[in-house]
Amino acid sequence: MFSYQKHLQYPVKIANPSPALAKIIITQLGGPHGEKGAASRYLSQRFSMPYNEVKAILTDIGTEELGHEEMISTIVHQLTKNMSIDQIKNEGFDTYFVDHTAGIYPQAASGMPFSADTFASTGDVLADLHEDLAAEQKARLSYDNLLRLIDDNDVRDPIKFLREREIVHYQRFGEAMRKVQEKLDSKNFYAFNPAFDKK
Amino acid sequence: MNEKEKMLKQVQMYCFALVDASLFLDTHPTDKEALKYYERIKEMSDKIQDEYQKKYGSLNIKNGEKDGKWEWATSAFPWEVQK
Repeated sequence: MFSYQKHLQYPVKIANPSPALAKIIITQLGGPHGEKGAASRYLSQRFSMPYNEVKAILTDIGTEELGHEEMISTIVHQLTKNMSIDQIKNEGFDTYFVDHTAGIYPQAASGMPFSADTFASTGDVLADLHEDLAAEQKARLSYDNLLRLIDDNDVRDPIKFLREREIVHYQRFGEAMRKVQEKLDSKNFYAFNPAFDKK
Repeated sequence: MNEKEKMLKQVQMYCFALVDASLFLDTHPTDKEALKYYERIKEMSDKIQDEYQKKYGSLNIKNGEKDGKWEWATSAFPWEVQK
């Protein structure tokens, strides 16, 4: 089960509202490389993982991603709190505002709602871990792109923290992959799914 | 940054160090140095969390009560800009 820690993983304190930034940052909640997809991916995949150390890494990274959902939601919340109607109109936030006001809704920057299509849970150990490595890399590149678009240091600071975490997670999934490969032999390296096939 | 924010930052720092160390331990479960590091940070993390909760209120539901009140539900939530 899960319990809640009543603090963010990393501080978020944004002084100036900016619906323009909220509109692009929301993609890291509900977009194709977002934190909701990340948490759902790892917390789903762990059930078919046969190895305890890899179950642990999927559980613990998945749990950390829930904290990252909270951080992104907090950034968007603070960027849209006290925004003016003029800002909403001039910064193109009207298309979000009309359905969600200043609420948090998981969607991509394009407006596409969050979809489980953004992640896979294949029940195949190597397919899942390859997906996880790619997912961390894709999340990192989205944070890189956000940093290219954001000037406000109040916003850049927590985004930089989240970007760093993608790198660490990539490293840990690489180690998990190595552990899995050590358990497979050269004959069945790609043809065998230890989560389903019997030796 | 006021006193409460400074202390919360300490809580976040130690809590984060624990998260990061536990991910490392997941893939290196017998690493002596990492286990020692985890132990040391855990002790400091528990201490600062206790101090913070005594002064400013609950960080987890197990410590939800403060001064005869269910403070868990009445204190500010972390997405609000703290005054």
